[in-house]
Amino acid sequence: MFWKVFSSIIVPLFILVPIVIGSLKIKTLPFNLKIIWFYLLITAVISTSATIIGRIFHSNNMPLLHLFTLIEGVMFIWFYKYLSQSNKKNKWFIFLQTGFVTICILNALFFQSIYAYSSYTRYVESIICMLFALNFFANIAASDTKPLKLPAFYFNTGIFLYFSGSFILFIFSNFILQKLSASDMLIFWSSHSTLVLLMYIFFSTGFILCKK
Amino acid sequence: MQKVTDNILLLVVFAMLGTFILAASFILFFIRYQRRITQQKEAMQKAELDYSENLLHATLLSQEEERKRIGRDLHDDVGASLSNLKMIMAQAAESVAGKATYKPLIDNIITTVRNISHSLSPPGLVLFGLENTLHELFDNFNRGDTVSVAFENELGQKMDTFNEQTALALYRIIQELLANTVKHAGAKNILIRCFAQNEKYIITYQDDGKGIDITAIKKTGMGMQNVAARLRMIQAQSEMPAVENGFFIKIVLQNNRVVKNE
Repeated sequence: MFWKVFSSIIVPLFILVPIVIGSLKIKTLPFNLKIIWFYLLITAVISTSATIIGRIFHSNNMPLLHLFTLIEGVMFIWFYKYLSQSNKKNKWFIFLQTGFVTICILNALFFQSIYAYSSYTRYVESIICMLFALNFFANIAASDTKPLKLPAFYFNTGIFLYFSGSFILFIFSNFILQKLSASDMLIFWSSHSTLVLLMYIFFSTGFILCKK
Repeated sequence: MQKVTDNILLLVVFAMLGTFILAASFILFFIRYQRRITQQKEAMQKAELDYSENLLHATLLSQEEERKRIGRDLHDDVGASLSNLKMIMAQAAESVAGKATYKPLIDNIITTVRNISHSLSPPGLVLFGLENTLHELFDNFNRGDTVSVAFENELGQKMDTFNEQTALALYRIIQELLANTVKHAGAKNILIRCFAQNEKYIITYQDDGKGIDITAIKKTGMGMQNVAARLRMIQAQSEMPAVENGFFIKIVLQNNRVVKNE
């Protein structure tokens, strides 16, 4: 019972914590963190819509997940573009964003139905985000900055831990949905929710550390 | 073929947990590594700073020693020789050609040598203490028409208990400040105050000149850099608040650091 409440109520509501903290400093946030704040806002809207469609209308809400994967991927690439602060890499980031959108559309049209879990694109997104996160760690290692005092470090760590922990779940998600019982699935989604909660805690810490 | 009985649920959970632990460990090791690197860099920077500070102190001390030696040699050797020459000239017959011309010339050289010797190393500092030496310095300035130096010393004889390094540093600092005022400030009046406050000795220096750009001191003023170096050498703090007219500096000395060890 606890895990059901945890996954379906506590964690989805916890998104309000970083949103509220971020909104208190929204005017002074650097642009890359504004992207994260908007990402959280969009996540909250899509999550609420998915819950309404699934729980109230008892309909398949997977099309929303396809849309969410696309938006999430594009926003995280955008976040890392502004985090890297390099204009030379602009073309590379635009290419990556366009490529990811194309993959999402092709996947929805030809490989995975919009009514099935978008496991392939979630996996691709995880790999992209983990590579960006590792690149950010490498950049910090080469500089003199103290990572624990850097708000961006917490956002990057949140993203890195979330995708590292959950990309295996993304790979097996369709398999899990078909083969396992509802109680077994709860274990998976609770693990996923724990990772999401961890990411939100890191995001909240990052927003707290931002100076007004 | 043997049937695989592994629980897929456990396998996926283990895989998730494994990758998560790997990622978390990576971050922890990264933070530890970065912290160690930062500590090493800070320690290295501190060592470099300490080294350059010690080098500066050693340079200032050896400079003072050298000044003292040259001043003593000038006073004892050149000064004595000139005095001998003056005596010989006095004893010489009135008929010696040009005697009337040489005598004031020799007197002038003796005065110049003594002034150079005194400015190189104030002899009164050890013999008569800082207070008297400062009075002598201010008297020299007051003899001219350029500026008027007022000295309000509430510390009195306490100033003479300052150790030699502190006394010499303060003397040089005040000398430098006076030179700056005369050269650049165009001030008419200078006020120097010495007093005790909360277990500390305070020395303030104020002139009514055109003042200086506090932010530009670090970039340009060699004299002010010397002042700062000497202040660091005697572990004194200084404040230079912006004032309406002229220049103001407050020097704060810790009582226990400046007094001579008996």
